[in-house]
Amino acid sequence: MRKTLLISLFIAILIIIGCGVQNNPKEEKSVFIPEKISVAIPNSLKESKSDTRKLSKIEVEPYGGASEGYKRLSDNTFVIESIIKDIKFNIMLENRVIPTIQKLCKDVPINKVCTIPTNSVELNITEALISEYEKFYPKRFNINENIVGGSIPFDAIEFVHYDNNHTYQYALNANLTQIYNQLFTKDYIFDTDHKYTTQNVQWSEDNNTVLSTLDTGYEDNVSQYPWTLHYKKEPTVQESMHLFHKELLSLPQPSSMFNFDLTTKDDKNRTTFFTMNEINERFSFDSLSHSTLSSYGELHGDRGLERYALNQYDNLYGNSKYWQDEVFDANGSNIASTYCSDSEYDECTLYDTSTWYINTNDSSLFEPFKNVGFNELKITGGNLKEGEYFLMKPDFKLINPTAQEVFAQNIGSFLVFKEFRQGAIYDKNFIDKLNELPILYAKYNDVLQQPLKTREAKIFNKLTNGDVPQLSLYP
Amino acid sequence: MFIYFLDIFYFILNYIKLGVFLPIKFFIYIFLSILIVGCGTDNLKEDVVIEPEKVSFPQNLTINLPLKLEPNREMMTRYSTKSYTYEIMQSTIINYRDKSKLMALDLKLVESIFPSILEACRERFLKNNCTLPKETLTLDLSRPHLRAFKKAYAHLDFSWDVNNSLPLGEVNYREYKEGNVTEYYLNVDLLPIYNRLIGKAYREFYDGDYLIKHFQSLQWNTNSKRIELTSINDSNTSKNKLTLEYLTDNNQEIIQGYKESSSTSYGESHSHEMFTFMKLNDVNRSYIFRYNSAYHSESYKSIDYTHAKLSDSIGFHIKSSGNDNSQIIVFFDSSGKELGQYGCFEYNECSLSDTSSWSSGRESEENASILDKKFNVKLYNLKADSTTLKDGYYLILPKLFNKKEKIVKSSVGFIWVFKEKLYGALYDERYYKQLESLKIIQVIQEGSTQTTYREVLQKDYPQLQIEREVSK
Repeated sequence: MRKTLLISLFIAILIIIGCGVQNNPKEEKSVFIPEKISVAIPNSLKESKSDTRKLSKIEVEPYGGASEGYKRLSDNTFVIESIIKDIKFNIMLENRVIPTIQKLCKDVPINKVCTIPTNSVELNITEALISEYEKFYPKRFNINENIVGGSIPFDAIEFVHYDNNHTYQYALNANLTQIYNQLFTKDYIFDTDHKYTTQNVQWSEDNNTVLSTLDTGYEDNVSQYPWTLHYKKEPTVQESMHLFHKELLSLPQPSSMFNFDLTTKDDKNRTTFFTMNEINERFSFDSLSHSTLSSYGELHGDRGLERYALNQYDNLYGNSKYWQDEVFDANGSNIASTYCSDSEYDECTLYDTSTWYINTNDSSLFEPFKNVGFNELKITGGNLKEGEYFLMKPDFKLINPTAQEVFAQNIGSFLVFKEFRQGAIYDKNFIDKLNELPILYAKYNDVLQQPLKTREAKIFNKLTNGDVPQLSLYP
Repeated sequence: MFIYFLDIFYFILNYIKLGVFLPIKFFIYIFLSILIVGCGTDNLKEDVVIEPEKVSFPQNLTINLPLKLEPNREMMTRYSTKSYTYEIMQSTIINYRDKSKLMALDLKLVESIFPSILEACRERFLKNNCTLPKETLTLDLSRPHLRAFKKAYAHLDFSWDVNNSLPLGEVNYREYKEGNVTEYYLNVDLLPIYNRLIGKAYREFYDGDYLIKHFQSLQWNTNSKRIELTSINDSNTSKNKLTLEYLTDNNQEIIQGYKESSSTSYGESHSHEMFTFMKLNDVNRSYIFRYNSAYHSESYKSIDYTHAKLSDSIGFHIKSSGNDNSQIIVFFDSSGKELGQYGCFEYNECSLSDTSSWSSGRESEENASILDKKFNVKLYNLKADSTTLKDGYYLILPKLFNKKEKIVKSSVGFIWVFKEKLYGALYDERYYKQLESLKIIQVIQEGSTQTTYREVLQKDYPQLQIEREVSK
C-alpha cells in the first residue's frame, strides 16, 4: 500500500515536472530597437550660437557674411540632428511597447511580416514617459495635458524577425499618426493634423547596421517630410551614415531636398569625411529663387576643409555659379578661403583657380585640397524622376544590391528636385569615364508609407537606355 | 426619532414606578434605543457643527477669443490677406488674452492651495479679513503645473528638476456679504515661488535685473457676474500692473482691462492702457473693441484712442491720435480683409468734422466714404482747457445712467488725466452735443485691491470740448 502510494507520488512529481517544462514557453529573447542610429556630427560642422569666435568668419568674408557653403552645411546638420532626435524619441516610445508586439507576433514564422491591426497596442502616457520627453526636448512644450495619465493606441504596426541571411534581423514599421495627433498640441490653432507619421526601423542582431525612416505628412495635402537614415558601424574601423531628406511645403514656405554622408574613422584624429548635395527653393519678394549646392569635406583632428560648388537661380538677379575651398578650425571658424564666382562683379575666372580670391597669405593651407577628388557634375538629358541617384564604378555588376553595398561603393551621387539637378563625383579616377558609370536610382525613398508586406525586395533601379542622363564636368 | 426617546422615557418611568421587570420588552427597547442613538448621531452632529459654506474658486479665467482672432502663421506677414489695422488690433487682443493666461496660470497654482487657505483662515476665525504670513503655507507643484510654467516662461532657461514643494508668500483672504451676494477677495504674494522657479534664469536673461514683487489677486462673488484679476509684477527696473474685469450682463460678456507700466531701464517711461473687449452675442456675433494707450518718456509721448467693431458682417476700426487729433477709419469684412479706408491727417487739407474732405490716397478711399455714410462711425477726441481731476482713468456715461453694475458696458467715452493734463475720447455720436450733461465716473485702483467706480462731484467736472481740427 505504502509502496503504491510512493510510486504514484513519484509519478505525480514526474508528471508535474514534465508538464511544467512543457508549459513553460520557449524563452523568447527580448528585443529592443537600438538607440544608436547615427554618427555623431562633429562640432565643427554645427553652428553653435554661443560661439563668438564665429564672428571672425564673417569678418574675413568679403561678400554677404558667413560662407554660404558652410552656412548650408550647418543649417542642414541642425535639421539632421533634430530629425535624428525625433526618430530616437519615437524609438523610445516604440521600445515601451515592443515586448507586447513580440508577444502578439510570437506565432508568426521567421521572415514573415507580422501585422498588428490598428488600436491593438496602446502607449501609456505616464508621467515617466513625459519626463523622457522633457529630456529629449527641454525647449519644446507641446504636450497635450489631457492625455497624460491615459493611453493612445498605435495605428497599424508591422514586425518582422528575419533570419541571418538578411542584412537586418528585425524590422518594425509603426504608424504613429494617432500618437502624434493626440500626444502633442499644435503650434497654432489653425495648423493641420498629421495625415501620416510612419516610422520604420530595421536593425541587425548586433545593432551595428540600422536603417531608420520617418515619413511625415500633414492634412493640408502639400507638406511632406520623407527621411531615410542608414547607419553602419564597423567596430574599431569606422562608423558611417547616409541620409536623404526632402521638405516639400506649400508656398511661400521654402522647400528643399538634400543628401548627406558622414564617415568617422576610429583613428586617434577621428578623421571624418562628409559629402552633401542640396536643392533649395525659396520664395521672396514675389519671386521664386532656387539654389543648389554640392560639397565635400574632411576633418583631421582640429582642422577641417570643405570644397563646395553653389549655384543660384534667381528670376530677379539672374543665375550665378560660385566655387569655394575653405579651411576651418574645430569650432567651424574660418581660417582661410579661396573662391570665385562667374558673376559680373567678380574679377576672377571661375575655372582658373590661380585667379581666385584668397583671404590668406599662406597658400600652403590649401595643400590638402590637392588630393580631393570632388568635382561638381553637369547633368543633362535623360529621363529622371525626382529623388536620389548614385554613381557606381564601371565594374559594379550587382543586380539587386543592398543599401550597404551602394553606400559603401558609390563614387558620386546627385539629386533631382523640381526642375533642378545637383550632384558631384568624389573620385578623380573616373572623371574621364563619366558616361560609363552605372547610375542607380534609390527606390526606397518612395515607399516609406507602404506596408512592409507589399514592398519589393529590390531597393535600387539601374537607369537604362533613354533614362540615362549625360554627365560631364564644368566648364 | 423623538417619539422613540419619549417612549424610552416612559418605559423607564414605568419600570421605576411599577417595579416590574419585563425582559423581552426591555431588550426590544434597548435595541431600539441603540438604533436611535446610532442613527441619530449624524443629525445631532449637524446641529452642533456648522458645515463651512463651500467657496468655489472661479473657473475659466482667460479671455476667450473667437477662432478668427486666434493667431495664424500668416499673421503680420506679407502673405496675410487681412487688413494690417485689423491684425494690429488682433495682436493687441491676443496680447491681453496671453496675459490673462499667465494670470490664470498663477491662479491655477493658487487654486490648488485654496482649501488650505480657507482652512487656515477658518481656524483663526479670520475669514472676514485674514492675513496668513509668508511661509505659513506650502505649495506643492505638480508636474503639469511645472510644464505649464515652463511653457509660459519658455524664453527663460530654467530646470525641470526643481523642488516641487515651495513656501508661499503672504496671503490675504476676505469674505463679506453685500445684500445676499458674498464677495470674496484673495491676494497672494507669489514672489517666493517665482524666485525659486525662475529667479536665476530671469537674472541671466534680463542682464542682472531681478523680480521684486509678484502679487496675484482675485475678486469674485457668489453670483459670478463679476470677476476681477490683478497682477502686480515688478522688477528692480520696471513696474507692471494689469487688472482684468470679467463682467457678464444679459448674455453679453465684457472684459475691461487697465494696464500700467513704468520702466527706468532707458530713462524713465510710463505707459497706460485701457482695454475693452465686449462679446455682444447678437445675430452677427459682434465684438466691440476699445483701446486707449498712452506712452510717455522724457523724449517721446504718444496717445491713441481706438474704437472698433468686428462681426460676421462688415466691421470697422477708428483710430484717433491724441497727439495731433488725426483720425483714420478702416472697414473690413468678417474675415478682416480690408474694404476701404480713409482719414484726416496732419498734412491733408481736411476737417475732422467734414468727412467729405477726408482721403487716404488709396483706391479704397471711395469705398470707405460709402461705408462710412452707411455706418456713420464716430470717435471724437476730447479736450479741456484745465482740469482739477486727479491723475487716472475716468469713464463717461450718459446723464441718466444709474445702474452701478453696468458702468463699463454703458460707458460712451473715457478720460485719462496724466500730469494734470486731460486726454479723452467719446465713442458715441448721440452725446457730442450734450457734453456738459454727461456723467463722469472715476476708476479707482489702489494697490492690488478691487477696482471701484466713484462718481465725480459736479464741482470737479472739467469743461469738455470736442477737438475739431487736426493740429499742425
